[in-house]
Amino acid sequence: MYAVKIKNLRRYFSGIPVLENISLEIPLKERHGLYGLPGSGKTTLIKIMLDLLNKDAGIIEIFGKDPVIYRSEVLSKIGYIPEKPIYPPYYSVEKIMRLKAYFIKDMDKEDVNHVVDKILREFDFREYRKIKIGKLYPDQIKTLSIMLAAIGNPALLIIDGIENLKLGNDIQEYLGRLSYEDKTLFVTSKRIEILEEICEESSFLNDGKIIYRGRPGKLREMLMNSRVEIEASGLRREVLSKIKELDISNEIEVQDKEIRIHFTFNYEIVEKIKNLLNKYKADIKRIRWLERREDDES
Amino acid sequence: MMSLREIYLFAKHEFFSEGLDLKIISLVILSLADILIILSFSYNAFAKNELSSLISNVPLEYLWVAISYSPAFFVYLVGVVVGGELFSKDFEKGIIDTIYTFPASRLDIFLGKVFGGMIISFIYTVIIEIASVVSSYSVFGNLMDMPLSIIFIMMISYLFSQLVFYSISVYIGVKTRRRKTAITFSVALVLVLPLIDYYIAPIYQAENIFIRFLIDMIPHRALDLPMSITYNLLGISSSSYNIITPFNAMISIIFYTAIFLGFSMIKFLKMDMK
Repeated sequence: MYAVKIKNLRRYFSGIPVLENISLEIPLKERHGLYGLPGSGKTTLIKIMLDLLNKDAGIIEIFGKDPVIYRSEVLSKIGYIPEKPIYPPYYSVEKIMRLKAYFIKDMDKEDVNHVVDKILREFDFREYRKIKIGKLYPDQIKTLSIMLAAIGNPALLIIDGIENLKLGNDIQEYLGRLSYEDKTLFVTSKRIEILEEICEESSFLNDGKIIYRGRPGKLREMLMNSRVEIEASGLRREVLSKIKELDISNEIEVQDKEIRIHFTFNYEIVEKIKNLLNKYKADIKRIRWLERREDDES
Repeated sequence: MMSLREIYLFAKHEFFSEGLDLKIISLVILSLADILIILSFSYNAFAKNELSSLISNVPLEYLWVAISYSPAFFVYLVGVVVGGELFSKDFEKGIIDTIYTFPASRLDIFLGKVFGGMIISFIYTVIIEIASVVSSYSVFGNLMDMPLSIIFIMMISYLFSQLVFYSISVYIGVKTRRRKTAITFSVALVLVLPLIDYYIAPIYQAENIFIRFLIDMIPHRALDLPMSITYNLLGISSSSYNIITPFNAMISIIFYTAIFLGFSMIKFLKMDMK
């Protein structure tokens, strides 16, 4: 049995394919990293796995069960850390943890108290137990999201955007704390070096398709000296000059208010251009990785 | 499969998260102010013996009953606000990724939240109604021989009739995922429908049972259920008033609640939660 089994999954937003024929199998106890550029469909895939978004076609099984039909059962086996966790601000840390714990079927009041206490102690968070979530700092909210994911000792931990869990500490330490050695881990990231550090297996989601499945180290090699293409519309003049200032010395095609930028793959540059386009309210149509060209290799 | 535990937990979550919402508390305060204003006007008119010009069709001894309806508008607004925000606020606040990934089926989330919302609006309605009845009775006194069960029935009918606009606003909230749209649209319905009611009143007098039934199916008319039931129980003639019959009101409430909560549920079970 696989922890996650996805076959020919498709999802469209307004007729545009976001996920195209995705097939992915993650065996039990595997630490799997899903790599993808911003907007490649990583979060969409996770949300479909969690039955937050619907699929247009395909099959998803988590521990052999369809998450839509067996939502409650499947979710009770998953610990999920969202990319940007937002919780109701009026709950105290302890109250939201207790609420989550009560959803675990076989827990009575005593078990709930025990589990919540144990996790609060493990994360050195006991002093904040009565604090309202609205008064926590962003890093503390991230810690809370890990604590909530740990409730019920889930068999599958899903972390969307693991690079967000910096917190000034080593990510490995957090994962070690959760004792997930015998658990399945499914993480997504825009940073291949983080996946390489944590995961033994990886896949690469590019422009809605999985184009690689294998060791993260090999994926990193594949990405080196490759190229990225960003397409956007609704361009304003000042953005163009700002992009040119980045000195990526590559191809920039501008037609009317549309732009297409080609440059050598570099995560920081991708982020900078994305942020610039977002800042000036350009509509990013696509960020995709392009295979290394023969003339690049020469 | 439904799970009562999950429904209960979501109902509890809804109750604790929205039970002390400032908008709803403001509506309750406004309704209490409304009760005081109506009471003082009525008392003033009562003292000057001008009450008959103020309330023409209610026997004096039942004055307190008529006055207890004064905060009805606010009672329905409470239902509209609670219903309109029920799901839309979760989408707007972005807590879908966290709370809605707790182990529960979509059906349990829906039922839990809808029941939680009902409990909140029911509690506030009971508070408003108790304040209204008690203050009205303490000013005018004299409950006659009226059994207390009438007050109880009146309150139950209030809660029941509130379901019409509660379910309509739940549906708009699920459909649009926008609090402002859901609440504005539902409040507009509460305000506009009585105007339609007013203009078609002459048709209602035609005494054609079928036409009367159709008119009674305008959602707003179901809100007259508490008054209709109380008048019936007290034997007050309502010939000069186009009041809905309790039977038609109940059909209307069940119809609208089933339709709108049913559509909301179907939408919620199939929707993208984003």
